[in-house]
Amino acid sequence: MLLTLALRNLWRNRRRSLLTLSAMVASSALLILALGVFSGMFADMLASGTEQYHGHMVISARGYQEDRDLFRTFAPSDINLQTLEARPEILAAAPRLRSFGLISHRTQSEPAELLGIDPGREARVTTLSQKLQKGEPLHAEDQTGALIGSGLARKLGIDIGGELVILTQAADGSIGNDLLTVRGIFASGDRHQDNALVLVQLGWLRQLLVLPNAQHEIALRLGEPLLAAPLADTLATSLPAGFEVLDWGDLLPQMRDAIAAYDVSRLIMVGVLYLATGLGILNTFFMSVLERIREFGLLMSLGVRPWQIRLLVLTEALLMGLFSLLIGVSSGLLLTWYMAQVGVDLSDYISPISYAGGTILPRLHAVFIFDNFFIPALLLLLISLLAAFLPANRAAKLHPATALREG
Amino acid sequence: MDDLRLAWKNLWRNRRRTLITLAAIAVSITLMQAAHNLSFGVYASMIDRGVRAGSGHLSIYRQGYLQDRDPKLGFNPQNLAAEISRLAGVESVLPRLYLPGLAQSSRDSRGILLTGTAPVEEYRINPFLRKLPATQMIREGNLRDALVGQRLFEELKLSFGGKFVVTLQGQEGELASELLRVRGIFTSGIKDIDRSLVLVDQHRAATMRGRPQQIHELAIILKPQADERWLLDQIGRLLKNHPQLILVGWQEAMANLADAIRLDYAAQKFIFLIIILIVTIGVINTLLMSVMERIPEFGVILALGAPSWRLQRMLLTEALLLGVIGMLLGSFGGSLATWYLRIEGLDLRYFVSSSLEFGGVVFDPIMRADWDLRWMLKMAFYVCGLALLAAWYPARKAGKISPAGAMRHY
Repeated sequence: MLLTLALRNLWRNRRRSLLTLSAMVASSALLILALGVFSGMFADMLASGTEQYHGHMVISARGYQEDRDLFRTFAPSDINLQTLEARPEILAAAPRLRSFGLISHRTQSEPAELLGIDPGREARVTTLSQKLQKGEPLHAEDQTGALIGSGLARKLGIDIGGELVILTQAADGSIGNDLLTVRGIFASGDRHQDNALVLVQLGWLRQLLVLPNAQHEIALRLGEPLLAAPLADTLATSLPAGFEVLDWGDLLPQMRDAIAAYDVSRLIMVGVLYLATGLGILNTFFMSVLERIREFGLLMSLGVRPWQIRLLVLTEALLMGLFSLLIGVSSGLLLTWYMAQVGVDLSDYISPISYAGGTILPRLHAVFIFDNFFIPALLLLLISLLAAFLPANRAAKLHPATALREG
Repeated sequence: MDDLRLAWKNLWRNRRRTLITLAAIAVSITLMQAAHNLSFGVYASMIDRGVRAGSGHLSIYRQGYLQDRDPKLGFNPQNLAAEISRLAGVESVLPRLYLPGLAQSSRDSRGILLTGTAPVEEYRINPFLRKLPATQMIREGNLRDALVGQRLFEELKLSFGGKFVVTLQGQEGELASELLRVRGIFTSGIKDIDRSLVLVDQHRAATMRGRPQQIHELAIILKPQADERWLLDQIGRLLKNHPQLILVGWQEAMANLADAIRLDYAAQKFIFLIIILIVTIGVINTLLMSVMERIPEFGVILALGAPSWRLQRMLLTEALLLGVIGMLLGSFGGSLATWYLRIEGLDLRYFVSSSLEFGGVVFDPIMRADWDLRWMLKMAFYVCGLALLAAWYPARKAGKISPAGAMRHY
């Protein structure tokens, strides 16, 4: 009965209701779209740090990630990869050895990071070998093959099949010097990876560094990257002493901060937009209450209680909120879906941007995140109730006799 | 004038509605002006710190150097630096060399970017060196002094005064090694820099490269009030004798920073667009309501012989008044907010660590606004114009009323 009455009241002044509704729908739908695109940028940024390089979580000897000390290694037998992968949260694990050296081709040389990988395992943890611009991934048999970043390849003037001279310091103090052949060139968009990273065979790097049977870290891929922190704690207890488990937030503290800051700025953004929307709703409801004063007076003299009047106005607001939520969220979903499927490529206008230790790719690409829909939807309902509160109060405080006379 | 008085009176007949609409217009102008000025200030400070630590407001390179930063493409500045620093508005001219190489300590090795500079000027200008004690700064001259990024210092297990070897490629492709000594360490907050920068005197770096007179970059730092266009012209004239050199602005030399700012501002503009859309709908709604409830009145006016364009003009005047008052109130609020945010700033230290990097510069966690009066005016008039535009539909509706029907309306 209350519901029908509220619906009819809204429909009585169709144009006004529809205009207010359109403001609410527009604000929520566009807001959801904007949040989806911003989250997409953050997803790209997070991926540039994790899925393209570190992995979601890394196991290493205590302190290794701090200084990347060549000598903080451990043996493959210390931690069993199969046992790790048996855990349901962990999708894959890959061993790595790391070194830094000077890479030369003819008369050009550039400093770079050498990352020794097990190609089969690495491909399941990180995605760099899928970002090949040219050439092919590393094969297990091809011990002297290498994948290099596109920027590095350009600076060195090298192409597929070209020969690289590697110069680095080995563990025994000698100079490690060897040749590699470029098999593939990757382009990830990340400045560091594209300009200063070379992926080589784990076995080859062990020989070069005179570190037989050693590795620096095990990179892990998780099903749920955002739940990495608690998993890191439980995993740490099951490992032998002297090891540490770091999740991406520990490895990239700036990025964790940036994401936390984004969560705050998202709320501010929603708040600012809804302030403007809320004023519009407030206006509409004041108008609609004021023009019905006489009607409310009549209802009250017929015995309707003030709280029922208040409830009626609030129900009208709630209905408006629900309608706009329904249309706004579904058009927001549709827009987000479009931006997720199609997106906008900005690479002609801007270059990749480094942010908080990661890289934002030059594209607009939305992702679906529950909070991006939930927060705007919930706040939309709240703001419509809040904006109707004052008008509802005013309607409830009317005196039947004066109200009747006023109209 | 009559129109204005009538419109004014009409507006105040329904005080509450007018006030709420005014609030919506004013609040959104205030918010947009404050948000824009805040970004404006933040960008300005990012650019200022970025160019001082980086390649200057303007910089000179050998043609083709910027594409791949090939260390072979150096040039001999001769007396160009001295000539440019004599121009009005130039604060400093920094010569720099950038040489990729390998640093080795007794423990480990790392890839580095050996940067040669003029130590005294660099110390005065570069914001990264502000906290560095003068005794730790490298000395002028062809010495072995090196300033090392803090991460690099730790990773190579160096010590103050400790030695390390830098290997890099000479002009002809031969590898050359040189012993350097740690004079000081610095922290910029940018991972890549702290992990890879080694700063030495320009003469030492040039000698290691095997081209003692050459540099890669002349970074020109301008004074705050410098006339950039005039300077571009003057420096361009000086470069006439050096056909192989080009002059570029920081937007080109530091594309990362320029793009970061553009992307950030584009996101903000999108939000502004939504706000304006909502306010416009709100204004249409209010004016439409005020037209609908005055239909009988309009009928009387028309019946008394007023032409319908006068009615429309009155309604448009009401909208204009709403827009102008909203604009004034909003701009006042925006100015107040800017004034506060300029003095006090917005402190984000609670949310972010002190060294969040954005577009290659450290983001100051205390954001400070700055005045962008032209934009504030533009925005205010824009919203005012929108209010007029929003009145068009209700006004047209009022113009089409037939007097007899209107008077029967209630």
